[in-house]
Amino acid sequence: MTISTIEPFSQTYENHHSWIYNWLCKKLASRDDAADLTQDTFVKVLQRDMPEDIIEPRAYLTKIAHDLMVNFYRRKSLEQAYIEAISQLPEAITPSSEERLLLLETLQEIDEMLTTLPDHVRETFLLSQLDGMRYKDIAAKLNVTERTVKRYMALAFTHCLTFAV
Amino acid sequence: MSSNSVNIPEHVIKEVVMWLVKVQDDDLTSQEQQTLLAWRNENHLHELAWQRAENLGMTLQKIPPDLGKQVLGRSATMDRREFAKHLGLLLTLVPIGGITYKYAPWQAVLADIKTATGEQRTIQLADGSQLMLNTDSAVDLAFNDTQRLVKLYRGEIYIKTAKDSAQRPFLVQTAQGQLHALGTEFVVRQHADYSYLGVIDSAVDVLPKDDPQQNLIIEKGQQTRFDSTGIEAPSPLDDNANAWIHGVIYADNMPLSEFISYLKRYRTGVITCDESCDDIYVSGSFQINDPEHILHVLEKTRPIEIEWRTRFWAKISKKQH
Repeated sequence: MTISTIEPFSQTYENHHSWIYNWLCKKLASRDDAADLTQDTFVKVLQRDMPEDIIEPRAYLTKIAHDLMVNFYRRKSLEQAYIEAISQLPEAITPSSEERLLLLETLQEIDEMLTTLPDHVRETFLLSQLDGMRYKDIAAKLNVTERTVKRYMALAFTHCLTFAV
Repeated sequence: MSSNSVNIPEHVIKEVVMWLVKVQDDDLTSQEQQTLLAWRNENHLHELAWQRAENLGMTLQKIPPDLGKQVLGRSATMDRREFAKHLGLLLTLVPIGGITYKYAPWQAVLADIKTATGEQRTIQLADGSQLMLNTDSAVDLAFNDTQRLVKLYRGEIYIKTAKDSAQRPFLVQTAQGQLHALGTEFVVRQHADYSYLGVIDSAVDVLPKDDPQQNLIIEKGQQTRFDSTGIEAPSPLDDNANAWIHGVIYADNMPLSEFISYLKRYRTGVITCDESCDDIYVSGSFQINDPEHILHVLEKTRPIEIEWRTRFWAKISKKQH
């Protein structure tokens, strides 16, 4: 990185840090979470090479902070659904804490990929990929044509492979 | 850099998705399989897209179906007040804070192809070569028009190269240097500060990173260790160098502590073996897919005691009489 890109960034940080933090504090229950997400916002800015000629930095930064917050809530809701699912398992097959953590990470990875897909596409994808159901059985279950199932699957695969980072 | 960060053009994604939907819908005819292989071979971006798809499949396979549907199929929108109510529960039940996590170098985290502890995985590459990953390993594939490059970041791999129609060289890169396969079968292991090479068939040329002029050809039945500046004189191939490919650890009067150091790689957790075991030896061929079972067998057949402190923590000492 050259000096010229560091300069504007440190300025950006100084000019915008406090209002982003305050903005997040209003949206989140916890000040710690707000501080974390404020940091994450600037990390994202660094990663993305903020355009130098940006006219409205506030709008740009708010968008990043907002996206991070949505992501934060989605992760929390996933963790909660996961805990509920795990607590329903018979004790004998409850995974160990290490296995639980690994599984949670895998679920988060997949969840992030699937998040913007429409519900019926996501459901089709899960029936096919987790249950191993055949397309024609999924079509019968969801009362759609097999062609529609294939279209949904193509959409989901395209999304996952494009999104995979 | 991970090839996951490579941008795959939209039309390539479209094509690979078409194949995926087809593969999952019916079994491919042998004609179609040939067409698919030819497509993968046609362009390294095709192969990259295919590997990325296989990776996605591997990830999905790790999820237990019922649990996955319940968690991933949950309602996408969630009321925030509802969320706040459950926050307390979340904090008491998830033991994340107490787990020490093994940090891997970032390349290994981002790598295309990975195995977990105790997992092994075999991959058929587009050129027909065979790549096998041993436990806790990570590689990236960088195939292009001029070379077939495998980057080993962590763990151990076995490679059996196939003749390439485009005659591209087959290379393996480790932290300490590069290996040029000379039509061959070999294993490579990444250690903390050196690399290990064992040649099973034909020969492999070793080029240390900082001094590639000091290259050395290692022949069939030989093994060596090298760092970025030099290569050790080759020695005869260790019995265990390629036993893992067949899923076993082979021991011929092996000191117990050495045996345990092999076993550890396949098992999550801690095993310690104290000094009282110094005169205990092990012989036999042991299936590595069940390390717990091996420990039980050892306890029955050798004069040792295993103290289980937790499910993951075993302490071995000599039986006192």
